[in-house]
Amino acid sequence: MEEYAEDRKFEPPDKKPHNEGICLFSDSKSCYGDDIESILKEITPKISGYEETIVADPHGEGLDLMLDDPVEAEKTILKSSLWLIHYKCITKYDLKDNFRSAINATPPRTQVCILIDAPETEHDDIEAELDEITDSKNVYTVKSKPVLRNSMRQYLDMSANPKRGREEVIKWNNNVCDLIDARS
Amino acid sequence: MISLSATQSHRYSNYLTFGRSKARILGIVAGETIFLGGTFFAAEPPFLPLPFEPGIALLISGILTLVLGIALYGLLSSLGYRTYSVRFHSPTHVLKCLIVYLAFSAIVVYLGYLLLVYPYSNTPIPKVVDIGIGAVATTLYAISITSIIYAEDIFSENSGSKSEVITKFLSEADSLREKSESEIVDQPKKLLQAGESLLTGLQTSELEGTEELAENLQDWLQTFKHRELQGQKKMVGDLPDSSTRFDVWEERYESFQYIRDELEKMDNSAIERILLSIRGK
Repeated sequence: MEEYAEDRKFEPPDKKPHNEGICLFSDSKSCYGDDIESILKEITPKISGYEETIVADPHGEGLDLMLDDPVEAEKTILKSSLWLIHYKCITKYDLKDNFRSAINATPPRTQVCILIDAPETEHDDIEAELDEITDSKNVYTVKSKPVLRNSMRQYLDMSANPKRGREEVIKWNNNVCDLIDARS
Repeated sequence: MISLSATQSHRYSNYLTFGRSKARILGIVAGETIFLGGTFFAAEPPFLPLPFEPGIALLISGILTLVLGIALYGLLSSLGYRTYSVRFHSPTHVLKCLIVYLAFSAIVVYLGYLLLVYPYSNTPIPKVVDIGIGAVATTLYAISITSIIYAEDIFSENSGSKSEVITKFLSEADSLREKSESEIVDQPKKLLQAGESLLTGLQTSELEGTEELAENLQDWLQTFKHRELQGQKKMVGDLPDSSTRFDVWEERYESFQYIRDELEKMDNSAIERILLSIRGK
């Protein structure tokens, strides 16, 4: 992961947009029946300066990494600032403590969305089961595809877009570089 | 036949005892009554010669009763303020206590009249001037009992400062919510200590209406104790401004808001609340 210079502009003429990692943790490698690329195709036209200041870079192998070696996985998943975790990845596998520790390690601007696609009657039980890993302020719950689309668009457009807060993006990036260095 | 259940009689007696030990209050009332009664028995009749015309005597006794009545309300308000019951911080409830105190005192004073004045006046119905003097005596008697309870309460070993603990609990919560994680030192620990102290006060209170707050506070503290710092911050209101936050944290914060509102109500006496509402107009 490249450390950003404090005066990095992202915009043209630099033509070096911020590469925004999106990490998906899901058995089916999909979100509400769609793959992440097709969801991105729907929302990116609405993101200001897309491909000029920011480019989304999705990865679907979050769960495989966690199942393989949760400690090593942090070196990769921390590079993404938007995590999309299907709730079963936390409740089905014995990864609750690992997710808790990984989420607690994320810097403030990383956003963790836990996707719940179960019937509404089960939501309370699922939230209760997830409770132990929801202390972090960065953790949100997403219960439908429109909410997911909206959350992703808002995050990419407002929170992670250098056009809206260049210094914050540089700070987040360099913070993550330090976290990964500390794990190497 | 009308009979009072144990709960009802407990509730009504609290108007007089403010949740304090009934035996102790009975001892205070008995001691006070015997002492005052004794002073009358030692005196020679007429007990209170008045150098005024009946009309002036009635006016003076009316004014005195009113002033003493306000002082009595102030004392009862202070007694209520020292309790852990929100109800005893309400101006209306303190007014009810005042009425109960005055009614009780009036009965004692009237019994005193029957015992000491009736043999000379030969009428069980007091004269207008006697009623005026009786009203002053009634409020003075009520004040003397309330003052002893208040003094006894202040000097008792168990009287911790409830107000200080409430202020500490609320200010530590504000500080935990407002400060960033790197600035937080021991606010969660102090918040827990203050919360546990409040919980003890609520759980040991004999007054009705404290159970619900005690139960909520206990559950909230139990959860707070076992959460990470970020979760603890969320529990006092540092929630993300988003529609996609977990309901469970919303509920925990709502529970904190209920606790905070009740504690804030408890942080003002009835008199202070009256003054605040007058100033607010």
